[in-house]
Amino acid sequence: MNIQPVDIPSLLRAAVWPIIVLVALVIFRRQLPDLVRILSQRINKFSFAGLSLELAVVPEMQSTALETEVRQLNAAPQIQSGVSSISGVFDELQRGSGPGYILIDLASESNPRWLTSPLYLLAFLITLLDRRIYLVFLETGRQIRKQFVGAASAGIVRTALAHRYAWLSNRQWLRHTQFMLAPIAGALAVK
Amino acid sequence: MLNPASGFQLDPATGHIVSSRVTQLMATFLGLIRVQQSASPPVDAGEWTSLNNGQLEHARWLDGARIERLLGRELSTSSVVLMPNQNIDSIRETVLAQQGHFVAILEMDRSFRSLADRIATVESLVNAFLKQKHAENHSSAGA
Repeated sequence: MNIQPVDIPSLLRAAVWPIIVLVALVIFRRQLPDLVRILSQRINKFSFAGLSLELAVVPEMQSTALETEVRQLNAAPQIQSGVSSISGVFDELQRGSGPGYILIDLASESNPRWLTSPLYLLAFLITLLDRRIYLVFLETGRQIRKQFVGAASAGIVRTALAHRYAWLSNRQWLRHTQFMLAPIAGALAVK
Repeated sequence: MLNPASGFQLDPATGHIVSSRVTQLMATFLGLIRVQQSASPPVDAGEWTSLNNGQLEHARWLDGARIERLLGRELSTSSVVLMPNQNIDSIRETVLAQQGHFVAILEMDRSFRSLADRIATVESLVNAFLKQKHAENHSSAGA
């Protein structure tokens, strides 16, 4: 019997569209009956031929204030500058609309740029906005700048920081923000 | 635009949170996590960082490894390297075949180039398909 070797690239190519269909089914599960009906009727044509597939690229929120000041919040003499820079970033975000991402350049281990506290503040303020803003983390390693570490929504970052570093969501802070943030304060774990 | 659930008072002219209010909020926050350096270090000294003005801040430096530990599975790390002979559109299938909400588009040296919203891409694709079906049904009903 002649056994042919498995052609992995061909298999992967063949698997791409079924995967897309599966994801689409999860997203549109409420419209599933209609979608199933359509797919069952035209399954041979569901090759997406004739449909233009455009990659949804998230726009970057380019903030000059963030580049120059927020990351230097550790520099004590510029405390006021740091605070005002976060305020400036927040103002920029308030004026904009739609989704976007902010680059958080952690730099290198020998020259770190971000402390947990300004990151928490930034994420906390972003979650006050009715916008989907994501944080993209970069770092310098092996002499390559701005290597991708990962991305997460500001809400996830805020929650994770508050969970890991209990002092970021202490009772005093929550009491202070409670009158302003009453509807969402419950989302912050009281430690 | 401000999340209506935030409860913040807004500037009636702009509809935004007043900057001074935000600054006040942040100053309060920093006041709560900063102390003057004293002879005896805090019990959890490793959790504090010295500032240049004689204060300690209850904060840790962040690097990539700490971010990965902090966010765990919530951190979207999918990425696709854009080769010199490719453009964004030529890698769309590869992007969609990745996992997670986002896919980072990287340069050859793995430095960051841009971020693709994989779910939004699939949503737009399905929407286009449904519109096409709707148009076809409409035209066949009219025939």
